[in-house]
Amino acid sequence: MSGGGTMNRRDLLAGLTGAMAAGLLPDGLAFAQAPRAGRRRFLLIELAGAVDGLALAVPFRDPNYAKLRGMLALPAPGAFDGVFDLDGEFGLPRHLGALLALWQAQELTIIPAVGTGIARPEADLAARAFATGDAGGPAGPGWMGRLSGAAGGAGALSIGLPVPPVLQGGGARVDPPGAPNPVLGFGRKIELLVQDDPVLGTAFAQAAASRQDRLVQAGGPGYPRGIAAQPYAMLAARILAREDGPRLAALRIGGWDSARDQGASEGFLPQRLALVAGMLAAIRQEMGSAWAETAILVAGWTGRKVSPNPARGTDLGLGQTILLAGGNVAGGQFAGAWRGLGADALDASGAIRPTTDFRGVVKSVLADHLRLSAQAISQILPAARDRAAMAGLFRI
Amino acid sequence: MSIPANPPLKWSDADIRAAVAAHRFGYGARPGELVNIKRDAQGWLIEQIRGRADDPELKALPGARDGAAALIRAERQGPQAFAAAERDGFARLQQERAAHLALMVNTTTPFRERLVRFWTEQFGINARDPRMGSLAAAFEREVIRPNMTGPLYTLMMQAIRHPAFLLHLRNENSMGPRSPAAWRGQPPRPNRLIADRLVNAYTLGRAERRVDGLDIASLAEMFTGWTVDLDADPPRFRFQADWHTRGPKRFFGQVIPDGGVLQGEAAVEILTRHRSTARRLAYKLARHFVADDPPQTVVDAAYNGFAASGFTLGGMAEGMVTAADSWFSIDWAANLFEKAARDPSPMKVKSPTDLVVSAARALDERPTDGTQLLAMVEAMGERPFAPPTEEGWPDVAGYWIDPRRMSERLEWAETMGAHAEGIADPVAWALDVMGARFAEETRRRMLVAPNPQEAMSILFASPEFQRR
Repeated sequence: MSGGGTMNRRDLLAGLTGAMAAGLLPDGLAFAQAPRAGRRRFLLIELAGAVDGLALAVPFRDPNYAKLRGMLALPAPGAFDGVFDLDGEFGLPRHLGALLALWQAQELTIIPAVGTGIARPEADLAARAFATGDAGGPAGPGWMGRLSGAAGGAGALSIGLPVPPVLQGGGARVDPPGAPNPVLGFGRKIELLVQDDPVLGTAFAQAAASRQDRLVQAGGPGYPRGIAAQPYAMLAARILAREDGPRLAALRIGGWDSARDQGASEGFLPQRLALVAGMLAAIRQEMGSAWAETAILVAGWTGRKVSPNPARGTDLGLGQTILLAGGNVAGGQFAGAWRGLGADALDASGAIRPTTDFRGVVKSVLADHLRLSAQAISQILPAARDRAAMAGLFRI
Repeated sequence: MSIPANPPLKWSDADIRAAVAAHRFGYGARPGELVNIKRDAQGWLIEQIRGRADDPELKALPGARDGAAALIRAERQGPQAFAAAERDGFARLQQERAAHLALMVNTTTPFRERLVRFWTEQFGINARDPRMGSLAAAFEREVIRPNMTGPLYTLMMQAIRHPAFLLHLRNENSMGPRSPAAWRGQPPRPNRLIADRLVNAYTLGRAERRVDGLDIASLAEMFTGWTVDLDADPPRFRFQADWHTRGPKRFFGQVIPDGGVLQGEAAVEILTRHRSTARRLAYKLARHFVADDPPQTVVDAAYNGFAASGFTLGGMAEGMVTAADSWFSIDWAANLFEKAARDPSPMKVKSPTDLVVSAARALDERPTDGTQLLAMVEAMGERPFAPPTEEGWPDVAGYWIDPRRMSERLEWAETMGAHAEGIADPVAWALDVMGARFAEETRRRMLVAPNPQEAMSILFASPEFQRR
């Protein structure tokens, strides 16, 4: 985080606190006609990077799973450390058990084999397509930003700074009061404290060195990552739950570079995903009755290949797995088409070939959850006019 | 007697011992706590061994064994029924995990709680076994908690007869080849796992080479017929006499006569009274509490305490805390340029649970619900009641610290600072909590921090807080 960013934050804080106190924050979505729709909440949790979908939902019944997945394969249900059987075909890793309660309550939908429409799995391309909804198109306003603007200036909230690209170009508000204040140069300050410790100091130095050359993959500087994202998620829950608060928010979480030592049930990626699972469960608890009006979309930029690479990680691929959670989500199901892990379901690089268009899911959020008009939706996602909204994702 | 606002030039022995007692043997100090411990640090620990546990959080929970019978019965009905029962079991387990973390923060007997956790890990009932559900927590509450200061034999017998143990080690169908049921023509189903685990994981250990394959096979036969009554809810131990292999059995150089259920008990007595068992457990205890490579004097003291007290685990713990070398300390206040005086390498690195619980205590929090604590612990790679291997967690620094895990710890420390709301003077606060352990370098860095939140983050990231 740069010094300038923090100055910015402070100024905004002062202004927003005043507005909040005076009750001046307008109702989030003034555009909705139906009174119900005006209470609808939407939170985007952007996992800024490529997220391995098979680490989220495990097709344990697939004969190719164990073979292709190799050391990253998780045991079948019933075995030691076996996945939880969700529907007889897919399983949930044990470390993501926090999601079971949502699944049981039919408030969680898992959509495998989702793509943003890009042709090659490159991080920059994928990040841009995710933000603009225009695969291969130029950089431009993000779809959440346009949604924010389309909503009559009511605005979507960026939970934390900097404002992620998906929220740029509209009337996005930033950094609500009460956001955690990241410590400027915390690592630097700690380095001098721990450098003489033979164990902690060595690990710290290695961590600092490896971070420097992997900024882009990890989601860029400034965004919360790992456990640091948790307070932001709780803040999002509290703000969205307010009767008079904003209705739209986006939170970007960095740190998804699992190209090395990804881990199967233990290690880097399992821990990061467990955190997201716990976050969703905690948001549900925190939001109280507002949860019934809520949908949360959890998605990365792109997916990863099925098989591990020699560095015990996975390389970028096209198809990813995304989550849709919330009281208004028609959950407890897998949505979209799943064609298994056979040769015809994979592309030449060995990644899952997408069967569901990410923009179809977004359109469904806009149309069925937020109840926007077709015209408004075509302004928000101009590059995806010909894509149909996915059906059956929401209750009403 | 009070903690001064500025650290003294030289800490008294009593101050140093208070800090060691609270941070190494307990879960860290709350504000104001060190002053009380300082009166008699060793006595504070021994009182906890001899006294009662302060664990009201567990009384509010539903029975930890509830649902276990349903889970195992569902297993026989097929995968679908099992999947549904497993989800219920997991929900209970999460509730148990959260309550246990809240308990560790709130308790006034933290050393005792740490002992509970240590002995529970020794028995390796692992919640990664899908059949365990919340049985892992039931095992802790019903077997370890009431018995972990008494004779090892009693604890071991309670453990082996507990449904969690028998189901985890797949002994519920164990039927011997020379049993009445086998004579009637049923195919025998011996289970060597229980014998292997009893000898190698819980008592003698693999270093004891005098036990051979025949001993293991013979021990397995002694535990034939030790099963679980699944029609009872909650399920309980049952000895199925007609599954038990008849006849005397040879074990570890002795012949144990035909005695039904008493044969297994006799074998357990041999195992729990053996010198190798005592040595091994004393070593593990010292490694858990004192150092990755514990001083031999501490291991010896724990061993002697065990033997002198009539083979009790409370005696072993008392032996450990009375050893002078258990109380070694680093001179954190040493001159900044004398690095050698402040080499913390012998000190244990905190596990995520240690870290999160000690921070919550340092912030004087009193959680009624441990869900948030659990999320932090899991985010740093520890899943309570579910160690990564059958042998439990590797109890050494190398497992908890690598570059990625170190980053996670710092992210966590930064986040935790936000809980410092209401702390006006973080340096005085930290001095109160850390006592003689407060390093001069950390203090200076906290002094120049722009706000209390950042100052507390610095404390949580400091080596003296990351270690215990």
